[in-house]
Amino acid sequence: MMLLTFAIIVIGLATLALAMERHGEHLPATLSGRHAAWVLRVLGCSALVCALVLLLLVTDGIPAALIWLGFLAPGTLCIAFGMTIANLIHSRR
Amino acid sequence: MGGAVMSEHDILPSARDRLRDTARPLRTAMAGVHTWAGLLFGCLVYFMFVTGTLGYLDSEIDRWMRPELPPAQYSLPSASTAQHALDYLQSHAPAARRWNVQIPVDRNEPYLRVQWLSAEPGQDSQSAWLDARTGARIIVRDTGGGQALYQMHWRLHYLPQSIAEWIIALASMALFLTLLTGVVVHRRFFADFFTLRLGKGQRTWLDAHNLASVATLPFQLMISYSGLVFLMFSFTPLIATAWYGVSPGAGRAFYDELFPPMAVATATGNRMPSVPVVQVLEQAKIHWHGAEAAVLDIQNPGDAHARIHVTGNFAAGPVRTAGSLVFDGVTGNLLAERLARQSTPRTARDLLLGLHEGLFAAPVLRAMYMLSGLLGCVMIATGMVLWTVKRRQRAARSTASALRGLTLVERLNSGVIFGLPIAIAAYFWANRLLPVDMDSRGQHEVHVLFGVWVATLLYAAFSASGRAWRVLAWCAVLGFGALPVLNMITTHRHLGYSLPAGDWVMAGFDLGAIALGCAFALAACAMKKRGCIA
Repeated sequence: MMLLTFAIIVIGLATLALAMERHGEHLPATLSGRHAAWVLRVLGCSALVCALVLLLLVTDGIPAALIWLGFLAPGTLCIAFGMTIANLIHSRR
Repeated sequence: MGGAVMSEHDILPSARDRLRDTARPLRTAMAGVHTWAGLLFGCLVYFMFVTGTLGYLDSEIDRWMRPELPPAQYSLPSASTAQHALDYLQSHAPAARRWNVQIPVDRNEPYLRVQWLSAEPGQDSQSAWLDARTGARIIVRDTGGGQALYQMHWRLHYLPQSIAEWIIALASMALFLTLLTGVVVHRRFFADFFTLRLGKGQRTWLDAHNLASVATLPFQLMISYSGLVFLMFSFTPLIATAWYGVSPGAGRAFYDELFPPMAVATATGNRMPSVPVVQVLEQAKIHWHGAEAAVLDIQNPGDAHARIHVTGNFAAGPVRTAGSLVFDGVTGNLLAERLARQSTPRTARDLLLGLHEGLFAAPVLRAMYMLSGLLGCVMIATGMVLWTVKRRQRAARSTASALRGLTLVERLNSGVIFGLPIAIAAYFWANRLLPVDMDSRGQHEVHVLFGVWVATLLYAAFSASGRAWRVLAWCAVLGFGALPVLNMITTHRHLGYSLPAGDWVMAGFDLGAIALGCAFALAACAMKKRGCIA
């Protein structure tokens, strides 16, 4: 369940990152634009909330919240490194 | 003027200008506070973060540094374990005025330990590690272990505790201010949330600093604020003074009200048989609705006025508190009780302390604590390097004294950022290499730690900055990478034994050391490739 929760958090953070102008260039043209950005933000936030709910199903309130906050850090790092690698690949093409 | 009518465009730009002029000085001022607080306290806060992060693995480091200990024994029944302890104390310290038994209950206290205080005044307490299954004493080497590293986090070393507390409190306040001002100064907080641009010199260091800080911002704010709460009685003494006054006994009155003594009794000198400990533990368990006792403290053992203090487990939950019961040591009657939760303000304090220490954390959450602590170290280290990189780029326009200051910080950075991990590796090496029967062995291990750190600082101070970074990185590679080999040569609890046996504490430490060595090797190779730190 922990791995699943972390995976959902990473997906949620990735979706939020792709909603940003800076990182949205990696999306196909059909998914660009302000409307698409809002949809991505809603999806990203929903994924993060879903992850918190999953954690609350398996553990108590305070530890669940702490684990969720704790997962945000490595999740953010994963996305940051992923975006960096994507930018490197993009610039070399 | 000249009859011209002021248009809307003439009014609005000046209002915008006023707003801009107000905002800019605030950000500039906060940037100044952020920079100076970080610069002045960076080394100390880095030390606190490294030792504090290691504190989340204090029990595991304790075990590695005492290879004589068997795997953890906290799954055994507490009643039989406690009885073994009391049998040992009865045979080895029957006349002591105080016995203390630490029952193995969880990962924080995985072994049975006893302490006793002699009836003769002026004697230090003595302690022993016991096998929880048999009650036999386990002879372990004298070492500070992981606890010594953790205690450096809030006590430093070589300093009186009162002075160390003030230094730590000031550094914690500086950290808290640095975090808050950093949030204000960080212009593109959300836009740069996932940004890490590599190979861009100063921009890369700034991105790394921002990423490490923002990703763990909730943890950093919690850890710095709760660290201040730990020291609040020392850091803000005037609150107690305002209520209790400044007379000689006022401080004592305050602490007696906060931590009232329970059922205190002096020894009579009349020997009486003690109540069976199983009975006391059962009573405590019923009283606490099934929760187990963690500590037994027996005053005046074997005396008519014997008192048995039974304390619960502080690490049972995020709120760092436990109930305490006092039983008559002869009759087993309950004499006094201190509830685990006494008031809302106190529970709030205990919650902050519990969150800071993370004793309650299960393995996944503990790993998150560790990662956040490591990212905190990265945050501070990148901040220290960023300061020098920024100013080196402006060096041509700097004064001579500013250049001297820049050179000093540049040279010390490598000695601090890489020197401290090297010193900690040396501490582990000393644990394996110093003779086991050496007097004050534990103290000498700590002397090795600080001696090596001073040596790295001196080397960094008298070497060219780039060279010092590379050499110290390779020293760290050797220090950590070769630890498992040293363990194999000096003990039988090496990877070849611990992996097949499933001894994950010993195996995890050795594998972690290899991982750290690899990380430092990557850093050394990256620095060699770039030719410099910037």
